[in-house]
This record gives sequence, structure tokens and C-alpha cells, in this order.
Amino acid sequence: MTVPEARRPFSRKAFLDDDEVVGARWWQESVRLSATPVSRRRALQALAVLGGSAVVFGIVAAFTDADRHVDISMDSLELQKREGWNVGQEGAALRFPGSSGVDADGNADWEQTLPLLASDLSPAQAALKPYYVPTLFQALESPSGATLRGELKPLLPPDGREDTLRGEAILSLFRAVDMPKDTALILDLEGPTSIAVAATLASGFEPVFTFDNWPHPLGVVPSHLTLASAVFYRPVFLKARGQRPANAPAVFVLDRNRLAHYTDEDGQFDNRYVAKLPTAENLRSLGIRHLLYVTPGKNDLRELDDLNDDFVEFAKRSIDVKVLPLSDLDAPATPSRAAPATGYYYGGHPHTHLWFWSNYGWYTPRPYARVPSGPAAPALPPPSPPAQISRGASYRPVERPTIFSSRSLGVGSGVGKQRPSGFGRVSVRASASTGRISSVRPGRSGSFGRAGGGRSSG
Amino acid sequence: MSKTFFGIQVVVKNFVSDPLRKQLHEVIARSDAEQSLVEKRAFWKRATAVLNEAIPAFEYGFWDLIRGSGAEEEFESWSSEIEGNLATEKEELGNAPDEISRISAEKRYIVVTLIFLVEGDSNSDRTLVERCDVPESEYWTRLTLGRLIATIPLLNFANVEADAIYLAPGSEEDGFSLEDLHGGGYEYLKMLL
Repeated sequence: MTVPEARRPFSRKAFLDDDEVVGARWWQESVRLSATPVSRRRALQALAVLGGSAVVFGIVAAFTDADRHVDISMDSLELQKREGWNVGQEGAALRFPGSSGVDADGNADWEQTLPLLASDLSPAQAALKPYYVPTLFQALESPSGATLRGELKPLLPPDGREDTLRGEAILSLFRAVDMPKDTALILDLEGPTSIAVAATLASGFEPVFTFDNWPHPLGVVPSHLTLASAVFYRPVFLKARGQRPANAPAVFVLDRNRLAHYTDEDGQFDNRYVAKLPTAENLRSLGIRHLLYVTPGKNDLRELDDLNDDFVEFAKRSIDVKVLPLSDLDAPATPSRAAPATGYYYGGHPHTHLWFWSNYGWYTPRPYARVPSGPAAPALPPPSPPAQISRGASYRPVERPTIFSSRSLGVGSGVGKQRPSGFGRVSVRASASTGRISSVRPGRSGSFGRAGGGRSSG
Repeated sequence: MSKTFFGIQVVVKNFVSDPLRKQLHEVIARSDAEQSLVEKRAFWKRATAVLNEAIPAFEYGFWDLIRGSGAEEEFESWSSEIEGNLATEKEELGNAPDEISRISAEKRYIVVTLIFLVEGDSNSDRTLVERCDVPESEYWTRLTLGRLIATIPLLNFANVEADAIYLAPGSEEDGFSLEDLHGGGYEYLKMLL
């Protein structure tokens, strides 16, 4: 990683403003001056001088086998693309607990569709395509994807029924205000839950998936479960595409496990990543003025760390962000819990459902709007607000130092989501002469002493 | 050290009443001579937001990603050619086109160029590689160009060694005609679908 030395490191070297051309060109000298070559040969020389270990731009970690190998910290996704999705753990099985082997339509021939998943789940609206991150789905198309396709099974998330009912509750709230185009949703839930809720919303909202990693048998992010859920709900998404209006509002689908706890152990492969959302300008150009950030529960009333800079910027640009924990949508309390609930409601009751708009304030529901699985709701909300709901409606983004903010890297605030040093990286041992990777250690500490050379790429 | 060049050039159909040129001109003209990383990102967010609005008007374009050998030379080549070779004499302006350089008076088109030189194997490099990984059949579409332009604010500018933006012609009274674009060194441009 290069840390700029100057506070304003970009210096304009050319400025043109005449009839021929208007333009400007800048150079960042600190990058140029610090850009010492770090070829493996040079790295070895440096390490030899330093007598064993050194850090050169955070890449070279250890001098290992005389002059033949170097240990390198490498971007996990890049390594997987180069060596295979299950690099270092070939033959290790992925687990899909509770899979019935069929997709949401009960089809058992879903395997034929796997190579098309990335294109099948692409947004239909051209304006939203730039914000689609198909990385996870593209793992199935990669050269090593055949083994992944062989392992994958469709999976209905354990709480899939509740997720569906909560998705229906959100959809009914927005249908009550005629699906306003200037409001988008952000689902920041565990991957399979995000997929399940998005599948329910898809008849009214255009899903934009943003899963930016690949699964791995030791992955700290269990993205194979997210992928399995996407395979399960694929028929639902495809059907919904034809049901919703061509200009349906967007729902950005995130996996909050992207920042899962990582302890740099041999038993974990760091496949974490940071979320990529449209910028404030992008959102405004899409006509979006309100964002509803959907989180799992009442304890999740602020954005995850990698979104803080973005959300603060959204607020500065008059894009209102509010939080809705899924737990604010609940089934009515019944004397017997034996019978499954048929509808979830904001505040846990049909009569409190449309109170949502009184709290969030963006729109006024039309009279006699329907609530999920229930009769026509009263035109006016009940006289008192629902109890047991969160304060998500009063959420306001507040800038805070995180490992993702530029401030913590010493280069000023607002630069955006820079990945912290070591984030999403693993240690590999490579030939100093050819660059061929000879072994992979799931952790990134750089010592292969405990790994014993996990794999050989031949 | 390995470097990566990324360049985009788009030809935009721009009518006199369109705000694109004026807005882009203002963004460039108001840019600071010295920029922090925050200011750099803000600058590109403003510039790309203006371009994003104009995606439907993209008519022709070209983009390239060169990693490693030749990247720095490519940056120098693009910048020097644009800064040095867009010669338009004052007398060319007006309704009567110059027979050599402006062979039509239908001056509807402007050319916008964005170029970057980034550190190899950096976050920015990886972002570019990932976003430029599009099927060949989609290389020359408005959607792809729009997506690539939208990538720019996502770059970690700590890894950007050099960047530049150009809008041509500079005069708000002038423009390129289709005939201009079909000759005179613009033959490499691709019609966007």
C-alpha cells in the first residue's frame, strides 16, 4: 500500500482552456517517487540484506527457501481467479445443511442453469447495470467453476419462511404508497437472508446484487451459502422480472458477512470484501432521494463500517437514509404459536403496519391500502404508535473513524472505502524465479512453518 | 514498478442547448492545481456525474487498459497527442468550415477523454481489471462505457500516479462534425451500440 506523503499530493502539470481543448493533467509525485520496483528478485536482495524478513509495500513477508521462494501476501480473489476457487483446499467439501436438492420451483435440473446465473440475475434496467457486482455468481463460470458447480446445492435459508413474510411486509408498505421511484432499499443482511428477502421484493423492486467475492472451503465469509440461496431463488427472480414495472425502484442486495470476524488463523481463508454502492451523484442521477437501509435487528441501528463514508456523503447530498431492522416486522402475538403466522407487520399488528409511514415520513399511504394477508387496513393509523419498534426512523449517518475510512490510514477523510492493509489477503509461497505459486497458507501471517505447504500447483 | 494505463474517450452528440459541455468545462476550469486525495475523488465524482447524465448521447468511443510494459508510454502518448495536436486556428470558428480540418459545419460532437496511470497490483489496478473484464461482444456499448466511467470514483486515488481529463473542442461555439470524426486521426473510434 502506498500512503501519500503530502496532504495535497496531486500537482497539476498541465492546464488548457482555449478554443482547442479544455483539460487538465495531474501527477502524484509521492506515488512516482515511492514506486520502487518490488520484483521478486529485488525483494530477495532486500531480504538478504535485512537478514530474514521485511515488509516492502506490504507484499513480501519472508525469505524462505534459500534463493528459490518468497512468501507473498496476495489478494484473495486474485489468487482464486488464478489458482482456482478452492485454492489450497482442493478436495475439501462445501456444506449445504438442509438442502433438498431442488430449487424454489421444485426443479431438480437447476444444475444446467448454473453457468448462466450471473447473466440471469443481472438487473434488467440498463441504468442499474453499472452497479451490479456479479463476482460471486461469476465463480461458477470460471475455469475452476466446474468443481464448484459439482459441489453446489440449492438452499432454502433456515429462516426462509420468516424472511419471505418480512419481505412481503416491506413490499406491502411500499405498495401502499404506490412504489415511489425516488426510494431505494439496501438489504444489509446475512447473504442467504438478503437473497430470500430480495426474492420476495423482486416483484416490486429491481434487485442489484453486490456480492464481491468467491466462496472457499475455509472462507471466513460463507458465501457458498449465499450462492446456494441464489440458485434456490433463481426461478423466483426470473418470474418477478416479468411482473414488475420496467422502471421499478432498486433494491441493493448486500451480504453483511462481508466483514465477518477474521482472526488470521490457518483455518480461515480471508475472502472478505468491502461493499460497492453507487455514489451520491450516481444515486441522484438515478433519481433516488431516499434510502431505506434494512438490517437484521434492533441492535443494528447504524451502517456497517465500510458504508460509513458513503452514508455520510449521501446525507451531505440530501439523500435521506433511514434504518429498518427486520425485527421491526413481526407476526401478531397469538395465544398459540403452534400455527404458523401468515403475515408480518410493522409493529407486529395489521393496525400498526402503516404507522411505518408516520414514523419514516417520506410518504403518506393511500386510503384503504392493503396489508399482508389481511383485510383492508383502516385508512388512518391507530391513535398511538406501535410499541417494540426500533428507533431506525430517527437514524442519521454520523462520520466515525473506521478501518475503512481514509482517516485511519492517515490520508484525510472521505477518500472512500480503502481496504485496510491485509484485508482480503492470504499468504502464498511463490517461486522467486518463475512466480509460480507452490503453496498457500489460509492465514496471512506469512509463516509457512505450521502449514507445511498446503498445495502444489505443479 | 509495474503500472497500468486506463483510458476512455467518448464522442458525445451535444447540441448548443445541452448543458454537458458547459458543466464539464466548469468542472475542469474550477479544479484545483493542487489536490488532496479527497479533492481528487470529489473532482472525479463531479466529472463522472456529468458524463453519466450524457450516456444516452454517447455516439462513438474507445477505451483501453494496458497493464505493465507500455502503460506509462501510453499515458504519455494520449496526453501529449491531445495537448499538442488538437490544433484549431481561430479562423476555423464560425459557420464556414475549414476545408482541411473541419469539413462540415454541422458541429454537433464533442470529444471527452479521461486517462489514468495507476500503480500495478494496487487496489485501483485490481478494480480496473475487474471492471474492464467484459465480454468482447460488449466492448463497444454505451452501457460498458458508462460502467467504466462509473468505475473512476471507485478508484483508490492513493494508487493513482497521474490522471487527466480533456474536452475538445474547447470553444463552446465549435464542435466536431461526423466527417471530422471519420477522418483526421479518429479512425480508431468505435460506434457504440
